[in-house]
Amino acid sequence: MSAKPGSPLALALAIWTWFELCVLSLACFFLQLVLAPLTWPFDRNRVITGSLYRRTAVIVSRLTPLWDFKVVGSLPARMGRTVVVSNHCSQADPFLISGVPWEMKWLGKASLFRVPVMGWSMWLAGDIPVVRGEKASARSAMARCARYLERGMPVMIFPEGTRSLTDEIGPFKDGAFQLAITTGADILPLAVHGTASALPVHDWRFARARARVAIGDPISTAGMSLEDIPHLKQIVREEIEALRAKLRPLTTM
Amino acid sequence: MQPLFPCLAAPDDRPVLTVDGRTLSAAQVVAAAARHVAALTALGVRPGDHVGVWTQPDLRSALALAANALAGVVSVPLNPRLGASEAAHVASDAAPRFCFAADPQAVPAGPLGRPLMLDHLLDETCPSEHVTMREIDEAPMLVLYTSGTTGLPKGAVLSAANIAHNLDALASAWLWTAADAVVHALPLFHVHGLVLGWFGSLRVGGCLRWLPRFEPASLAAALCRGRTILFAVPTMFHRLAEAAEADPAVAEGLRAARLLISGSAGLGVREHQRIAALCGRGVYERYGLTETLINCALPVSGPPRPGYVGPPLPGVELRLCDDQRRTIAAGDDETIGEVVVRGPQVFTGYLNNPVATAAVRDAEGWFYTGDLATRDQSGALRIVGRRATDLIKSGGFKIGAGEIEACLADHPEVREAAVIGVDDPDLGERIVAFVVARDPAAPPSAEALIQHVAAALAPHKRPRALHFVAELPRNAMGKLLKSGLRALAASRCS
Repeated sequence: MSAKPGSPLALALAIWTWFELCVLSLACFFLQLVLAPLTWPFDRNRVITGSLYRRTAVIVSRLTPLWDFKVVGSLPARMGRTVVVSNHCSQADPFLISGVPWEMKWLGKASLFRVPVMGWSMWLAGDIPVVRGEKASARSAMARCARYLERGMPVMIFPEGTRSLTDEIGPFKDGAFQLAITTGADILPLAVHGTASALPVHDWRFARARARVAIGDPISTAGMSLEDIPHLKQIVREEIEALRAKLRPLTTM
Repeated sequence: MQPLFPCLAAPDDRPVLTVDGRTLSAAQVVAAAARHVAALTALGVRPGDHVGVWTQPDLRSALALAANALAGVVSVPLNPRLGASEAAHVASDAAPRFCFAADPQAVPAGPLGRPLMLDHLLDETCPSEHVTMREIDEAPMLVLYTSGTTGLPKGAVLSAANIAHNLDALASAWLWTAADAVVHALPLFHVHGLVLGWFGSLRVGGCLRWLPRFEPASLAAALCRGRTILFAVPTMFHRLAEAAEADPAVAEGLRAARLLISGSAGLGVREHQRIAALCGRGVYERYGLTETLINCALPVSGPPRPGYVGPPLPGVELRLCDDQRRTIAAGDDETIGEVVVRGPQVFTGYLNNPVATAAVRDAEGWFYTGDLATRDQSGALRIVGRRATDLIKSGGFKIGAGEIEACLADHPEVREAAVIGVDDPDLGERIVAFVVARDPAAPPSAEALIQHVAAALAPHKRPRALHFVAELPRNAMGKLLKSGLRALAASRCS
């Protein structure tokens, strides 16, 4: 696409993106509403309503000519009990990461679940809200994550807890690593690169982006105790940085 | 100026590269290069910057090296098995801006940093930028690290002009044209596989069929299609000959090739004869160094000559010199001198190391190879060893260790052999041989081997002592360490 930022074409494409996003989100939400009572009795992991939501996010990203999002890598050979972690640089990250070939439940801040339609869909998808800074909320969210993991459903956490607005990956919070160690889960690192330009901060206009998410190799936490968290964080950070570095030639525009 | 790779200046649908069953045309290689240029620009890499390429067994490794050449950045090809200390040296010496790898995860973390992937080369959705065709300029194109037997590896800087002149000379010696497909299973971090095999094919406009993993049956199959040239090292010819004896299809492949070329080390006379008996054709040898590219090659207009690497290539000036760097005029096939060369193929110098460069190249541009050779009347050279370790002065004669080693290795019961000179009050130096027997449980008698050398070469070239060993001492790159043999000889005598 040759739409220059600020040009009428760029504006039209940004509006189109909002339009198709709203239409598809509504369609997804109503479909989830219909499916939830029919499927939940036998689909405890909410795979059906969850997958529907992820597919919708992928279709939204495919329908806008502004975005070129792809997954690099495939389902790891070993995918048991798994906490998936990724760096976080944009609100467009979920649209990209939803393209990975497995269902997982996302840990997200509670305010996101109150966003009309899309937030409600997250709830129907089985995602896990957490109130920032509230210990009780964090505890119950982690307990829900652990239950998902026990039932073989991977959990997705942004360990930075928020978007990084620079090229640096911010400090990791303990939660994801504590969860993996206490439940004996593997950590599966993902790295995203290129989404930062997709939805610039403090701007309503979607913009051009070429982004990729790379799938790493699972890191076992077997034999680790909570004292190993700093070490585990370091290993995971290095793996994410290596994955992100390799994506750079693919995300240039 | 002329383009470095004319077939890419006006790219068409001709196949230029086949790896693992995938074939790319000249137009596809240029398209991949255009995407690479866009990626390099976005990364802030400018022409002349150093860029590492981990030469993993993958089509994209070859593509990246060609794309770097077109983009005008200097490639530093990296051995995927590079050790940690060598990687640290390359990282500080060449300081590549970025390193690329087809499979970045397979590269161990280390001082060369986290590699960038090469998927953009084959991903048609990636942006591209116009590729200006690289011309035959004097700007650096490659930094190739040479493994020394002592000290840290040195980075030999080769320019586009070095490479183009040398390839043109080889093309004339081998009658190598766009109709030829080169087949090889060599790594891409050395002159042989990269400069001759890949850049050579691009220069003449032919095709390279690269088999990243050596396997006689698939190599033979690749030789059977069209007009083909095989590039291989002696160990590969040895294994091809063994495979051909068991499998007629392999012999058929060797017969089908238009040319069999051996290099990087001497091919034993016995191996020559074995291959000639198997497929009815000989192997042509050539001689070169990383720093000088190829200096000598037997022209294919004449017959192959086992033991000889041929006369200097067109454009190469060559002398034999004595210890005082005085020219030896002899053409008697007997007098040994150091090979000294000058010409457009001689490298720019060692990276960041003017002292080492001055040690091997004099003010007039003559490069002292350190290799010892004899020359016959036709001007063809026979390489007999290395000056630093292989010139033995015994009983008033100058004897090349390599000649005796080759003779011993030609004995059917010998796997490999190394020869050194040990101080001797009577002879000056005494020839001592170390031999690895083909069957260590039943080695031949030392006396029989000594007689074999005396009969095949000359009595004064026979070893005065011969020791059987389980293996020869080698460095990490597989180069023989003669210093280790000296220590062994001292301990055996006392």
